[in-house]
Amino acid sequence: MKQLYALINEDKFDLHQDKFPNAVTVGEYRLGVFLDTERKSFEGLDGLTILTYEEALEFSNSHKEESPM
Amino acid sequence: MSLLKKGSLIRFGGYAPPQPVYAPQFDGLTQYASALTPEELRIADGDDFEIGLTVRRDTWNSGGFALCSRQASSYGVNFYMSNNGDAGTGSIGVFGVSLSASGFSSGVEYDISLSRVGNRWALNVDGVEVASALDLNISAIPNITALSIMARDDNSFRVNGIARDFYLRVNGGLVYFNSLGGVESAIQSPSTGSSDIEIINHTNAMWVQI
Repeated sequence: MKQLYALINEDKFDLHQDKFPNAVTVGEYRLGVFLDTERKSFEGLDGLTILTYEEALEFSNSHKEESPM
Repeated sequence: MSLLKKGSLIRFGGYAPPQPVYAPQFDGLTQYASALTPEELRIADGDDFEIGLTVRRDTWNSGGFALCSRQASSYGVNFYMSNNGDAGTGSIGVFGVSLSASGFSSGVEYDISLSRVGNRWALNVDGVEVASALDLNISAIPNITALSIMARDDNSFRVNGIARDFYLRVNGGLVYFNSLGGVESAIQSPSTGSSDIEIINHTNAMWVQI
């Protein structure tokens, strides 16, 4: 059992908010998390791209907030 | 032949096998934890206290917060774990004040706490005082209105790794302890105190045996 990530365009977030109510903001996107056992139910959805952890990490790092420290 | 065959100690009632201990492994991307009624963790002005947790940061590649509290718009306790610019190493400190120490590593658990006795403040790591100061002004501590673990209290600057055993002692007495060890549950109830902690974006895959 592994985690996968849902990268959601901000302008499509309304369509998926019920599935990812606590998705975090990353730039112009939202990022949610789900289990790989649920993958089929998220495939092909409008404005939602499925990422692996490594892909999500790379995307998040490229949109990193400026460190306060 | 030995009189003590496998399992015989259990039958005699003198031995119980240790129970496995689990902890949540936060992904540093979406997951953090938040106290549901943080005002119950308030510290009366002038009381001595110690607040801390055990944390392991798996990659130490940027700034992140292990534990943060807030009073309205003012920051309170903010344990940061910031990289030093060297691969896999970093500093632990309290954001906004001069309590910090360097030389910490990724993949290692540390017990981090902030204590105040009278007007003396100390940052402690693994029970050893690593920095201290007199008369710090961390004004938000008495009235905690938000408390996050593995993220800043606006849910930014998330940390990847393990967090467990969050506690608060006031005037030498334990008033709150939450092991965060309730496996496969988003809601973590304390064994001492009453404020539940919710793991935001919880999944059953985030639990690891330690």
